[in-house]
Amino acid sequence: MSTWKSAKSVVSLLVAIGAATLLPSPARASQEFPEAIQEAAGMPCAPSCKLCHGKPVGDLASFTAKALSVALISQGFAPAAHDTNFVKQAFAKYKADPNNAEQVQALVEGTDPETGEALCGPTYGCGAHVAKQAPPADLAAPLWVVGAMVVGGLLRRRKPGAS
Amino acid sequence: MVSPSRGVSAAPPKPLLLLARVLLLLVPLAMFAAPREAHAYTWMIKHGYATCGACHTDPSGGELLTFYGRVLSGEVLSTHWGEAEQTARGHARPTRFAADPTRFAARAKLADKEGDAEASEGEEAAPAEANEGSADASADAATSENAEAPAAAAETPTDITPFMFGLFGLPDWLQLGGSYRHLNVITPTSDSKFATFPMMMDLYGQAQFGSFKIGGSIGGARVAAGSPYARPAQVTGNQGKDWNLISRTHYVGYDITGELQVRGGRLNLPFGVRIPEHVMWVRQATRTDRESAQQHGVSINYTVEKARVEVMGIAGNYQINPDKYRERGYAGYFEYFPTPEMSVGVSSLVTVAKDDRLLLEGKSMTRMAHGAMFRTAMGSKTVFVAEIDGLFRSRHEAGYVGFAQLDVEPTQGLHFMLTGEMLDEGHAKAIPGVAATPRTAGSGKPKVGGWLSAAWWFLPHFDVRIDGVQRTGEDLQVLAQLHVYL
Repeated sequence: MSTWKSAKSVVSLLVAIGAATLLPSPARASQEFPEAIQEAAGMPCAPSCKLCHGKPVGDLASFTAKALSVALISQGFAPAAHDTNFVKQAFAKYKADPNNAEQVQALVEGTDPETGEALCGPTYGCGAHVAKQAPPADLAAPLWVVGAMVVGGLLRRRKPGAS
Repeated sequence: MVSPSRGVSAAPPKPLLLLARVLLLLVPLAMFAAPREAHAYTWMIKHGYATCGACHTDPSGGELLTFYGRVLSGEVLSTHWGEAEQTARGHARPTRFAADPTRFAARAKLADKEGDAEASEGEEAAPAEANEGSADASADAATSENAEAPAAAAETPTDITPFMFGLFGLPDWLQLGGSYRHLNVITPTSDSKFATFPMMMDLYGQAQFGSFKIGGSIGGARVAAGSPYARPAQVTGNQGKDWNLISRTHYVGYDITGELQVRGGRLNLPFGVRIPEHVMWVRQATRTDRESAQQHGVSINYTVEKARVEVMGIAGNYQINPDKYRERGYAGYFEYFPTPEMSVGVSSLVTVAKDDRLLLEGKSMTRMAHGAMFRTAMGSKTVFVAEIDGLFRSRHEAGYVGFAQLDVEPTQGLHFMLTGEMLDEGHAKAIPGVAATPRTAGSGKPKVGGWLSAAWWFLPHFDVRIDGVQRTGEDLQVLAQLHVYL
């Protein structure tokens, strides 16, 4: 018996398991920190990892590289916990301190409060970003021209038949 | 979700049903084992397959299998159950089942020569049993226009695993495939100890009409906005943690000759050893993985018996917006085969973008990687693979990345791998008036990593894999995967 037949029955089982696991649990919660910061700070985008790690792909060891991450830790944030709620709670305390108003405003504008660099990178996907060209505000003139051409064409075709 | 049958007393389960239910509980536990990203197994070189075009529609390897690749996956990739069956199959590599050897270029021709010699041993033992799939397969072979596979119709593939395990029949001109990979990440020393998620859910296809071909992949992914994965392959535009349609590759191509083909579209970048481990530093630091690092452009591939070369002009990834983040340039490799079981090669990549999508410096970025690669079989059970690349970026010191992997297959289908890797991407050069960033492992200082892995192709098109990964400054990670190829 060929093995693919036995595999066929196994695949049914695995597909069922796969379907069950399509409700994915979060991967590394640290990948969700940017969205948590975006939500907490009211940023226009999920910021680059550079905001807290100083480099584009962050890890635990580099989390203390920037002033904001150090400040969040001082507000009770524990990065190793990988809990986005901690980020939001710590940022709320950070935001409540009037001394941080300038930094918070920079984040709202999508820039790094420490370096002034842009924190909003590219957007991804193709279809959603192909903007249609806006139609002319007033179609009256071109419609009159087209209409006149059509009527003219029809009249010219009728003439030979009428004669 | 609540099952409608929940709470209703049922008849005593039949043994098979009971077994299925037990497996339903146990298999998720077994999932602590498993994967690689797609396919293109570099250690196939020990079977004399130094090139990839015989088994994959991508001439440099990966993803969609050719008919011949499906045959080989049963013959030489997965474990053969039962001594008698194994003896019967032996090493009767069905090299003459190729539906259209012109697709496979030089490797298939070489295989044909070997196959003629080996088939004399294998034909005698070839099982007569022909299932539905193999019947289709031999029909495919029989309709081949190419005279280089004259014996194709006379033999019946013994272990062909057709698309979707035979649920659908496919016409000769259409090849379809798909992958489901489920990954579990265990980080014993971290507060977040366990994560599980579908890593890959892709369908692949290629239609070929004479020398013209059109193909690509389509799949789904759901990753956080901060994830480095999947997003560059997005088709739909959700920017947060929502499901997105992704397409890693899509292309049109033309076979100018059996050895020379040109393709245009979103393609895997031809650079380095096309390993399946997309998180390996050599693929991440050079941005040449097959996870989502593909770019749009035009590629020319030339494969002959002793060498292969692919060069791609990169027009940018048009699934990234705006245009300033798109990298343009070229990537390519040249590989020479002193013997069918050994290859040496060089790779080169140069790209320019108005801004780097990861660094976000707001300045033009020129990125280069140049390196060498080596693969060799060491006997019938062991393969050694290595790559070393120099990294050069604007406003950064020169860096390097490399890996070496030893793969041992004590019995067919079961692999043990030991991998070492190293990385220093190059520290950012000091800017007057700006405080210098500290040198850290991987950025101005060497960073090393080690992988201890086991992979088992326990059935044709089913494999599990477990990796223990320890890297400088990072927690120990155990990656466990289950993979099904459709």
